[in-house]
Parts: sequence; C-alpha cells; structure tokens
Amino acid sequence: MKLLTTLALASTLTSAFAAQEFGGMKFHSSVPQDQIYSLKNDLRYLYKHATTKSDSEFSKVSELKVVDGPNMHNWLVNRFKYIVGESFELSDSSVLVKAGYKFPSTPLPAGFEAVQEVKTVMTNIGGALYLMGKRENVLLGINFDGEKIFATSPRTGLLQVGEGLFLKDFQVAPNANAPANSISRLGTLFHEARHSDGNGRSTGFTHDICPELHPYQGHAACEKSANGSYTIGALSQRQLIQNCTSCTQQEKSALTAKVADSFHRIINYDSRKEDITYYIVNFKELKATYEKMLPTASEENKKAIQAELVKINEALTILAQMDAKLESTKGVKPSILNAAPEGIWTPVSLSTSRAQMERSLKK
Amino acid sequence: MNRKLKISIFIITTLVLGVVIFGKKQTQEVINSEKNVDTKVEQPEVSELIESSKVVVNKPTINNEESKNVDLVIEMKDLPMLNDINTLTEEDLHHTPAFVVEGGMLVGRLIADADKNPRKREETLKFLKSCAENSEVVPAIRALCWNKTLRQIPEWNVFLPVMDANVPQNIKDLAAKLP
Repeated sequence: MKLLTTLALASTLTSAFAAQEFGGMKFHSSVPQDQIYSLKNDLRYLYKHATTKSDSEFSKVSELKVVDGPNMHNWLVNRFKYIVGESFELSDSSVLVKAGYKFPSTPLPAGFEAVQEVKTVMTNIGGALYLMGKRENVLLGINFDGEKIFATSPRTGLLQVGEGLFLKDFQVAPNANAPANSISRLGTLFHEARHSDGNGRSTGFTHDICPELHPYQGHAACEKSANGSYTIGALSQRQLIQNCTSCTQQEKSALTAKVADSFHRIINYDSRKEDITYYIVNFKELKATYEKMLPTASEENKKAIQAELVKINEALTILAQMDAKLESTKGVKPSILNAAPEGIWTPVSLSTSRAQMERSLKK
Repeated sequence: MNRKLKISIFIITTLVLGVVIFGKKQTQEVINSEKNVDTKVEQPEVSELIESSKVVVNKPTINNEESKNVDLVIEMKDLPMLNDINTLTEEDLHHTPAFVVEGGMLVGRLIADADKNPRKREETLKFLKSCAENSEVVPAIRALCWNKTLRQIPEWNVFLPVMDANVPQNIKDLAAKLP
C-alpha cells in the first residue's frame, strides 16, 4: 500500500513539472505563463507547418539539407534548450562558478577582451556565459529551477526572452498567437539561436558596428559575415513567409519589412547573381504585360508604353551582359564564418527532437 | 481504514484533481487560440485619393474591434523616416524597430485596399514608387515599396513607368532579396 501511494504521488508530481517542457525545450519559472503559451504555439507552428517552397539560400546558410518543419525545429533545439524570463537576473546569487575548467585554447572574438558587462542585447545568455567564463578562466553556469547548467559551449543553449518579444507594438497581427506573429517571433528565435554557434573568433557570432552612412551607424547592430544572426533571422523568416498560407497581405508586408531590415544590416553584401536573375525575371514580366496592353491602349498611352518597352529591352540587354560577365565581376563579399561550435555539448538528433515534439503535442 | 491511509488518499485525490483541472484549462486555451487563428481581417472601405503622396484609407482595425468609418490620410511622413532612428537606443536597434514593422503594415494595408478597389490601383502604385524614391524613408521600407511596385504592376495590369525611377542600386538590391 505504501509503495502504491508513493508511486501515485510521484507520477502526479512528475506530470505537474512536465507541463513546463515542450518540444525539447524547458521553461524556467521566471517565464510568464502567457509567454510560455505563445512560445509553445510558435514551436508547434514551426514543426507542423507545410513546406511547399524551400529557400535554397536558407538551406545553404543553415546547413540544413532538408528544409521542413521538423528539421527547422531540430536546428533550434540544438541551439537552445533552456529559456528564462526577463525577470531572471545574472547575479552573484544565480550564477554558478567552477574553477579549474579547461576551455579550448582558441582566441576570443575580436574586441571581447574589453567587454566589461554582458548587455541585455545579448539575450543568448548561454553564449555570453561561455565567453565570459573563457575570458576569466572559470566555468560559469546557472541554477535553472534546481538543475545546474554549466556553459561548456556556446551551444549550452540558454536563452532569455524579454517582454519585447511579445509587445503589441511588434505584433504584425491583432491576435498574439496568429501564424504571422509566430513567424515574427520565430525569426527572432533563429537570430538568437545563431549566437549559439561558432568557434574561436566566430564564437557567438557577435555583431559588428554599423559603418558610417548606415542608418544605424555606430551601433553594434550590423554584421560583416554572410551567415550571421541577421542573415539567418532574415532567411528563416523569408522561408516561413513563403510558406504561410493564412498570412494576409498586411501581415506579409510587415514581416517582409523585418526581412528587409535584417538584410540591410549585412555589410557589403553582394549577391549579384540573385539580383541579376531577379531583375531579368521581373523586367520580362513587365515587358509581357505592356506588350499585351499595346493593342487596346489609347494613342497617348501607346507612346508612353512603347517608350517604356524600349527602356526595358535596353535594361534586359545590359543584365544579360552582366550575367555573362559575372564570373569575372569583382565584388566584395562578406565572409562565411565557421559555424561549428566549440566546447563540449550534446547534439540532439532529428529522431530525438521529433519524439520530444510528438510527445509534447499529444499532451 | 487507518488515519494514515485516509490522509494519503486525500492528498492523492487533491493532486489528481489539480492536474485534471490544470490540463483542462490548457486544452481550453488551445481551443480558444485555434478559434482565433483566422487573421483575415476585413479591409475597410477606401475613400477618394487626394494626391500622389497621399492615399486615403479607413482607420485600421486593431484588437478585433469593429472598424470605424473614419477616413485616415496616409502621407509619406506616416512611413518610417531616417530622422526617427535618432531617438532609438542600441537595445531598440538590436532587432527591427517597431516603427519599421508598422511601416510594413501600412504598405500592406494600402495594397490590400487597392486589391479590393481597382480604381485605387494606379494611385497606390504611384505612392509606392514615390516611397521607393524618397531618400528620407528608411531603406527597409523603400525596398519593400520597390519590391511591391514591381510585383503589383503585372498583377493589377496597370501601366506605370519605372525604368527611370530614382531608386538607388542598393535599394534595388535589397528589394531583390525580399519574398
């Protein structure tokens, strides 16, 4: 009888704690319930959304051979597993310190030696703890509701979510849990997840100072790499927008503005091939549209349309020449940084993350 | 039945009931959320266009309230401007500022409205082109405007000369990357 009682108690207590774990991610007690609910919704949307269009650039930068819900979810789970709320503070009482740990003998990111404090802009706490610990030569960690988590790699995967992620001002749809808002938040999550990657100088994929004449000049809100956080955030959102069947025109426009803003932070980006192809396709479409208009256009409009067609044909000729000369065209391209994470961490296989998510979806 | 057993049964029952009630509440939240997933908000009626730098739309619906038929003039200055960035902090700029997101929503509303009202399409396209040409508008929105201009011309079957548009190459390049 005693054994039965103990087992019953244990199982009810276990099921109560399991409520705060979802799809391979754990939510700290500092995360408000409504935020947990929204994030679970976002992960559910990511995992279950139907992928009919695959963005080849996203596939290349994320190194995902298959781009679909389960694989994108797995990509995230491998980069963060623990989520704390805005009220969680890194302080003497919450941070664990272990001396005598041997970090990889790789350099720190440029400029990190001089960083005096971890600013809240770096909400990937795992990456920050790892780098700070490496610099001070002590292993840092936190007490996560009784579980000790030490940052032995930027892939420790500890993320702090702020109220800003859920503010109405940043929503693109009235309903906080509409697919469009999930896509908006997921872009931010992919951005932060990228900060869990890298080794040596690329550890944490830290941001660069925006150059002169950039709208954000002087702020650490840009990047020089071709596979950094702003790139992955933009590409993941572009991938999700293209596959959103329920997003309205207004929602897609708002999301596209975010994509444009992220791409604009990549310094000296020069993907001429894609740009040339884009304009060839668009101008050919314009040409076909105007040629169809000609027969029924008024005399006045005919002249204007014909003048425009001449210009389109000239532009297409130039674009074709540029396309042919592309190989020899000199352009400054941002570098692809090594995203392989340093340190000790445990990868999560696709089958494991799928099983975790399927279990969560059944509850 | 001894006292200890009675207490154990009471505790177990309370815990089980608590889990059941909690589970039902979560299920109800999921159901409520799924009911609200449909985000296709009905676009309000559009009144007369004023000039190429302005497009008149009704006040947008917010928080699922019924829209009021109050005309709201959208001018170029309603779009996010470079000057607006000066007041933002590094934390504000870490991710896309809210006013850029709002600018995207405005552009989307214009297009959705012109979708429903064909007589608005030509003026809407002119506005979008002007937006792309305006050096005071933030680059992300200029690129969005240019992207939408090129997309909507064939979709709406409207003539608008764009080859001589005063849109710099970096804005055109940015527009090319957008979905």
